[in-house]
Amino acid sequence: MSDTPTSNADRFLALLEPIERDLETYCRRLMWDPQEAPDALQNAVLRAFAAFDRYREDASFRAWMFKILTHEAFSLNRKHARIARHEFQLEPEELAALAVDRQPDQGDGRVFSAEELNERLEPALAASLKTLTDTERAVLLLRAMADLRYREISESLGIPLGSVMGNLARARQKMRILIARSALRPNLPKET
Amino acid sequence: MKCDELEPLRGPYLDSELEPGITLAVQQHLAACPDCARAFAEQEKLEARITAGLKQGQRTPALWQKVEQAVITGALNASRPRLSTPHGQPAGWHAALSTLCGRLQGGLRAGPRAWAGLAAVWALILTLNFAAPEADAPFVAGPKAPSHSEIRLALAQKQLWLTELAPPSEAVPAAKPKAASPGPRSDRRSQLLNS
Repeated sequence: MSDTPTSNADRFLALLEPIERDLETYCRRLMWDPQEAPDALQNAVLRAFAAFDRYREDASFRAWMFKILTHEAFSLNRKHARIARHEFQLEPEELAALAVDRQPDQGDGRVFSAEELNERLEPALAASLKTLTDTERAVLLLRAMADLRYREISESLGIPLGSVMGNLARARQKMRILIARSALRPNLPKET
Repeated sequence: MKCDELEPLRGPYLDSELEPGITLAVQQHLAACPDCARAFAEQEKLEARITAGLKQGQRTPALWQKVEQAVITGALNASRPRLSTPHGQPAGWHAALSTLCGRLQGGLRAGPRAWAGLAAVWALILTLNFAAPEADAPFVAGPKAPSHSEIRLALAQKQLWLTELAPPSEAVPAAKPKAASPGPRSDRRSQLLNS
């Protein structure tokens, strides 16, 4: 294989194409301001291409790209670091009602359809993601969306394996609580 | 394994991140404990729903077309010959000067031989400067310059020649008699009346 810049670009883009949708979705979830997601994506892809010579063939391109994108998103997110985060205090009955199999009825005995649940879930997800710290959000998304193993997440973020597990547990707990709240209180105003 | 010991293992168990021995212990406990089994099952479904929700998203074709175009443009620019140096300096005399300075600096950093060479050059310059005859200096009197008395004599002789060559000077006109001061007005009136 020749190492001309154009052949490098072809090889890089061939590896990039299958994960473009996942990268974009991940980026929009990770950014404090989703409007900045295109800039973060373009910066990350160009940075990755500039460093493509140093990419090892035996490494996971997916994990490598998610790592670069995560660092780019973190650097753009820093200016939103002062955004106040919510505190979560759940009532005991809310904690006991985290059974998600039960689709809450709408008062007239009719249950939510899957589409309605998804519609309700999306704003709840977006709102609850904003309550996580940068690290919690990145760990959760790298696990849930990028399907990275704990060790890969640890290497991507440069944090110990124990921190990955701790951050993931906290992020999941916050998400569960908020999703349950949203399901239990269908008339709550949607958070943006 | 007790129920409260299982709590922190839920996530790693559901993510298949536990060691095989611990995984087996968890499975044995779940088989024997319906409460824990139900809690695990509920969390697994909730996590699956959250994960599915998080993965909902579209690929924006226009965005990726722009990104891919930027990559290709970057690759093409990298393949073109550069007009500037790697440090971004402009081509031309500035670049040549920079290169010369760089080589000089590199040579001086090379070691004591470079310094010895530079000292030899300076010694040669100084030797040539003192050994060479004095150049003709237009404002400095040399050894054959005339003495002050000779200069004074030459100047006096030149002045004499100039005096002889000059035309004879005209006679100075006689001074006009000074007009008498007018007398009193009454005298002049009497003179007029008399005349």
